[in-house]
Amino acid sequence: MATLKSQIPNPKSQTPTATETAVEPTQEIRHRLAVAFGAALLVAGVLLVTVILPAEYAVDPLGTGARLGLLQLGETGKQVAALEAGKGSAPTGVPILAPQEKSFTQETVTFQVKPKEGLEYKYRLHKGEALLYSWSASAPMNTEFHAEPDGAPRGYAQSYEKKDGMTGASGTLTAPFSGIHGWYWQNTTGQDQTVTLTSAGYYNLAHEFRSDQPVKNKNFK
Amino acid sequence: MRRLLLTIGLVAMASAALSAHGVSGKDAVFLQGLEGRAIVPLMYLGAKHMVTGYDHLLFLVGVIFFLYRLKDVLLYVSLFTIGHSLTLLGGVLGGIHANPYLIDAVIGFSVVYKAFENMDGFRKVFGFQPDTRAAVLIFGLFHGFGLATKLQDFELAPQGLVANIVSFNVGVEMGQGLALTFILIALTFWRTRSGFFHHAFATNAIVMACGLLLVGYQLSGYFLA
Repeated sequence: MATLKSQIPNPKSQTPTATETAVEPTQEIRHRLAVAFGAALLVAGVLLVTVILPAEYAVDPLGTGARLGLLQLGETGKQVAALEAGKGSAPTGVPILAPQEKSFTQETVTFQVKPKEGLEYKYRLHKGEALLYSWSASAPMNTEFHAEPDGAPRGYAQSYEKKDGMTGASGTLTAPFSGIHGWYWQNTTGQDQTVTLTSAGYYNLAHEFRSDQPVKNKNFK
Repeated sequence: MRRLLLTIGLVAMASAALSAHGVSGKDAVFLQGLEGRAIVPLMYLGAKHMVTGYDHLLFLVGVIFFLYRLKDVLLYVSLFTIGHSLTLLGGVLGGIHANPYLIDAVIGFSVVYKAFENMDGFRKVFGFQPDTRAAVLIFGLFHGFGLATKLQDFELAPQGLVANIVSFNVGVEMGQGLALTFILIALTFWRTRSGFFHHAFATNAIVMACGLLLVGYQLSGYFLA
C-alpha cells in the first residue's frame, strides 16, 4: 500500500490521508472510523436538539432551551418572522395606508323613525375612501348596510350586511367602488324610535331617503 | 499554554466574524434598493459572504487539509471555483430557484463527505476512493447554488444584473482567496508541529460533526420554518 507522503503522482489518490501513517490493521481503523463517526453524529445531534432547535426554531423537546434561556431567542425570531410575513397589507389585501388629499369629515346625527317605517342614510364615497362608523338605536331594528355603485341601474344595491333585531353596530368600511354607501333601518315597534349615527370619513355629501318624501341632501364642507 | 491561548484567540475571532451567515439586514436593504450597476459594493458583499460563510470555509478546510503542494491547492480551489461560479451565475441569471434549506443541507453534507474522505473512510470502509477532484467540482456546484439562493432572496433589479452578479462572483473569489491564505498559513504552521498527524483524524472528526450539525440545522429549518 502506498505510504502517505509518497510523491509519486497517483491519479486514484490525489489526497494523501492521515490514517495511512500508522501501520494499524484495517479492522482497527474501521473501528476508529465508526467510533469517530458515531461521536460526530452524537455531538451534532445533541447540539441540534438541545441548542439549535430551541434557539432557531423555538422547538424545545427536552426543555434545555428554556433552561439555557435560548428558547426566548427562537420565539422572538418566530414572532418577528410572522410579523414580517404579514407586513405590507391587511388580511384581505387592502393596503394598510391609503393617503387622501382632503381632510376627513365627521358628524353625529340623530334620526326619528316612526312606527313600522324605514329610513335610509347614505354617504357618497369614492373607491378606496374609508368610513369609520358607530350607530345605536333605541329599539331593535331590521337593518341592511349596503351601497349603490355609480352608474348602476335604478334600484340596484350591493349588500354588505343584512341583519334583523339590531340595536347598534360599529366598524370601518373601505369603499369597494364609487357610489353611495349606508344603512337602511326599519322600526318594527309600535312607537317612535331614534337612531344615532356617528361617523368620520372622506365624504362631503349624504342622502337621506324616506318613503313618500323627497330625498334630503346634506353637504359637508 | 501558549497553544491554548492561541486556540482561544482564534476561536473568539472566528465566532465574531462568523456570527452572520446569509446577507445581513442592512446589506439586504441595500441590495433591494439597488437600481443599476454597483460593482464595488457587490464585490464587497461577495467577499464578505465568503469570509463569514462558515459552511464554505469548513469545506475549504477539508479540501486543503492534506494538500501540501501549491499546485494541488490551486487545482482543487480552481475546480471548486469553476463549480460554484457556474451555478451562481446560471442560477441567478437563469432564474433557477432551489430551496435554500435543502441546498444548505447538501452543502453541510459536502463538509461531512470531505471529512470522511480525509479520514480515509472510503478506502477503509467501502474499499474504494471516489474521484476527489470530481467530488470537489460537484460539491462546488451546490455551493454556488447556495450563493445563488442568498442573492435570489432579494429581488434584484434587472438593470445591471449581469454586472452585479459577476461582481458578486468576483468578490466571492477574492474572499475565498483571503480565507484560503489564512487557512493555509494556519495549516502550514500546524504541519510543522509533531501533533499534526496525531490530531488530524480527530480534527476531521470535529469537522465532520460540524458538517452533520449543519445538515441537521438546515433540514430542521426545511421542516419547521
